[in-house]
Amino acid sequence: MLTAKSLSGELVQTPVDILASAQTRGSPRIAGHPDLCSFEATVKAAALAYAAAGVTARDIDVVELHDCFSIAEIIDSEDLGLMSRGAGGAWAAEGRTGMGGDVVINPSGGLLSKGHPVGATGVGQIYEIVRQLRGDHPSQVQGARLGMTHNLGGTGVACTVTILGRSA
Amino acid sequence: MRVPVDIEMARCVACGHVDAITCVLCAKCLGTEMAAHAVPGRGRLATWTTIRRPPTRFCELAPYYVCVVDLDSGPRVTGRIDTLAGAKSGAPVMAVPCESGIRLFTLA
Ligand SMILES: [Zn+2]
Repeated sequence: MLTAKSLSGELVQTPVDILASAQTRGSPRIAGHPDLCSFEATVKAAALAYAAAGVTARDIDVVELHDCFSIAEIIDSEDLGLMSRGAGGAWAAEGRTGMGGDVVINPSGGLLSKGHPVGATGVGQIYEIVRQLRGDHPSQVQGARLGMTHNLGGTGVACTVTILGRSA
Repeated sequence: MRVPVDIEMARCVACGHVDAITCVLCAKCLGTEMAAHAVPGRGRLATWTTIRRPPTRFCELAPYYVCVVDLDSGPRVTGRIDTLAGAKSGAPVMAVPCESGIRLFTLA
């Protein structure tokens, strides 16, 4: 249920706050990206969302991001500022993005493991993060208070980053 | 010496902006008059990937190689490259004729 915060107390037992949702655009073509290891739409959307929510990448406990291909998780996680540029691959390999790691990325298994049902993918990410923040996810990230979803369309032509938080 | 085939692009009649694909609207000034604009198919290989699981209509071709080329005239384009033998980032490439209308490159 999506409702105004003033009504959520009486309608929902465990409300989750939408702290920010930002949508941006980028080039519709691979050849339109000057840096082939970054999607500018993601970088812009993340900056807008962090600013609107008043948080930084370090504050995020759990992320469902758009790993439509294996390389995409590395690009996305760096674009979202979850680790420094160039460190995404090493963080994944060392388990720093796994359960119990510095930031938990795609505890759902991500897009590749669910077949990426395009339109449903984004809604699925929100569902996953909401359950994580309610603390009732079968694959629960312990103590998750702040979650983020990242959805990228086409070849980086559109991006939406949403930051959700457990209601205080 | 081999001569590369030209690559078809679009050029805005109003502002001169060159777009790497043929299109009907200028991305720079939103002008609606785009004229055909050919540039020499000569550039440098930026990167490439091997397609091993193609969509159905390209099944016969697999594995094939998709590349990104920075043309000497400026724009960056995608295309295919005929072989990866000797391919490295920055290597000079040229466009060669391809009957299917796909931009096909070869190492120059
Ligand atoms: Zn123009």
